[in-house]
Amino acid sequence: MRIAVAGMLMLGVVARAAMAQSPMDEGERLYTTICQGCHMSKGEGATGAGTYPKLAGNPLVASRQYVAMTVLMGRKGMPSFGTLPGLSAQQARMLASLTDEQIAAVVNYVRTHFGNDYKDPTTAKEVAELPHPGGKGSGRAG
Amino acid sequence: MNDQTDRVATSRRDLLRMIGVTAGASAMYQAMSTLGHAGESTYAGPPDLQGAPPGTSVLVLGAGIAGMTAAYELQKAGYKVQVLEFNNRAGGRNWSVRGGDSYTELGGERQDCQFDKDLYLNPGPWRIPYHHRGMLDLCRRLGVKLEPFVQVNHNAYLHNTEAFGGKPQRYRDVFFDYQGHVAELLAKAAHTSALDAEVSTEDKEWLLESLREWGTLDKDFRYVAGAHVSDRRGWKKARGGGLSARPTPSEVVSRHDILKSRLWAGIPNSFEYDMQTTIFQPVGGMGRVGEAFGRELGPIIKYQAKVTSITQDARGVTVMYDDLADGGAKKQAAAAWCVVTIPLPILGQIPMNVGPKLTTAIAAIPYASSIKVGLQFKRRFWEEDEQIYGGITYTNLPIGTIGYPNTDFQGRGKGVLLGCYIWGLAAMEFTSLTPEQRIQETLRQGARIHPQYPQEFDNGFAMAWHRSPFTMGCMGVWNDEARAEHYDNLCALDGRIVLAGEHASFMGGWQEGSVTSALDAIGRIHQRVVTQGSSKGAGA
Repeated sequence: MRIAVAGMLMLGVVARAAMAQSPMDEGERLYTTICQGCHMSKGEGATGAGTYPKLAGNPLVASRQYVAMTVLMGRKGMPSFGTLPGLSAQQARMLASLTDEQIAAVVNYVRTHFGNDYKDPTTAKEVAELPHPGGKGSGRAG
Repeated sequence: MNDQTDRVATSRRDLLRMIGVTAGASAMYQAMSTLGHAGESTYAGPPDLQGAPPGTSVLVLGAGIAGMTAAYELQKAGYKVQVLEFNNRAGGRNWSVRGGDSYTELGGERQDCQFDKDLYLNPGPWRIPYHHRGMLDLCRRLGVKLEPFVQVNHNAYLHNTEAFGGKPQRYRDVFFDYQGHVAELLAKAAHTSALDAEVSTEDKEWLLESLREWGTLDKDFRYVAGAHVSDRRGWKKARGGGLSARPTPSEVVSRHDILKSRLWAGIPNSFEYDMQTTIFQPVGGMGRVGEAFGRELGPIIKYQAKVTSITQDARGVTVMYDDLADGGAKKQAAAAWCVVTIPLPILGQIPMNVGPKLTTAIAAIPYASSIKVGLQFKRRFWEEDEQIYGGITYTNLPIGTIGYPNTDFQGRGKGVLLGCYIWGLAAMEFTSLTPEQRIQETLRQGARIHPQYPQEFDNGFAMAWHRSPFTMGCMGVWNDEARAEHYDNLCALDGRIVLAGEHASFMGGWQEGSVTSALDAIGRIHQRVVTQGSSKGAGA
């Protein structure tokens, strides 16, 4: 049950406000409506009993494949934003799936914002070649 | 027809009575299981944990339902128990937010709840079905009073922005019109011999007769407006007494309009086993369970303890924690055994020397996103204006659900609605907003169903579970693959450490999963203690 996220976004409340000033690219739109729920609006992360890692200045962000794999497969408590197999309808309703294009856009956004300035963008084609959930030899990233 | 129904029911009761008389209670139980009456929970009453060497120590991490169930039973059996809890209160996700409560989510947004006295929001679980026997027994033993939770309210709404011009429809109308039209179609199929290969002539007679009853069909097996249909879906002009009270039947919505509306999608929610009547809620809020548990366990719970490492060796388990009540001072607790109920996204970040299978399992389970928004209104307009007493409205708007308070009906004061209860993508989007934005968005959307919202709104509280400092998500999400690969490993005793919680159950998100998981876990520890003759451990 692959849901194109674009069709389901509730016209992004945050996005709507921001769009009034300037057009928002796909990566920014996805970051501000999904990712910043945990990684926060400036990519600063947060700490309580555990920690949501910061994306601002995080050396792991240097690897575009690492970031793309994390979005695709999830990491620890972070849900996969690829498409998980074997979900009941109820389970599927609890998660969200992004297309390879959307994953590439949000990876590129993260790697060029919050003080990050990486010059090697990824592409949907490159994301497509990475292991996807349920694919052969795939497993959740450690 | 009614006679026949009664006959069937009576004969089954007679059979059970006969078995009960001749073969005793255990045969009766077995027979009942076969007939689908028992076997409703793995809960088998308080566990028997007698026989451990006196003073055997157990450290429990987390004072939620799982952790406190474990601590409660172990302590009763003579174990020496200590509990470490991150929050400054007991209960974990079992929680009710009330006026005067303060909550700061990850990211630093603080909410000071301004609900009136006795009003509350259950940010986490809100209902306990009749077959969650572990939770019900806990409530009984802790003295937590229960009242009915209204799962189905025939006068609440089903709403789809694309149907009936976006006007909410009464559940009752959709339910009975959908049922009536389906019954009529099936009767037509039976009459045209379309089902002759499927049913015998005699069964067809019964089928037709049952369809007439079930779908309120007329003598010609049509679903049409009339007195008999209005006895289910209500009247256009209501019945009453006296001269002015002659009723007018209500109109039936056409088959096409009902099917096209997709509103039928809201009906099966209440069919699920965990949503079937009778369902309960604790009087005063779900958090009464956690609060009572906290009082019962008293000083053995150390609050504001942030666990930083868990280390086991041949003698026992040592846990390092930051004492947030003491300026973050680094302290340690130790015991022979350790029950860990810390939610997996947090546990996965805490150094713990367990085997690779458990470590992998902990990292394999993502946590779902969920939102609950409580809205306090100046009056109970859903009751006063719309005759909605408790229950749930379902909508295809991102807010998903409107839950009406199932208590204090016809109260003259303010009331708190559950204005939004959602999962998945919509929940992630709401999480990305500030609490105030979540409340405003909930109001904006909900006003399409209840136009009274802007006029009557007073204040609100918005819970985003991925912003929860003590869980980092709402609940574990398992798929079949993860279940096959990791579930047994997640639950297995690893040396002196065992996990418990809803995430270690087949009842994700339900407190009954936490209770039964905890009892299963401590049962296995106890087994090990009794067979090994445990050392008392380092002593906490």
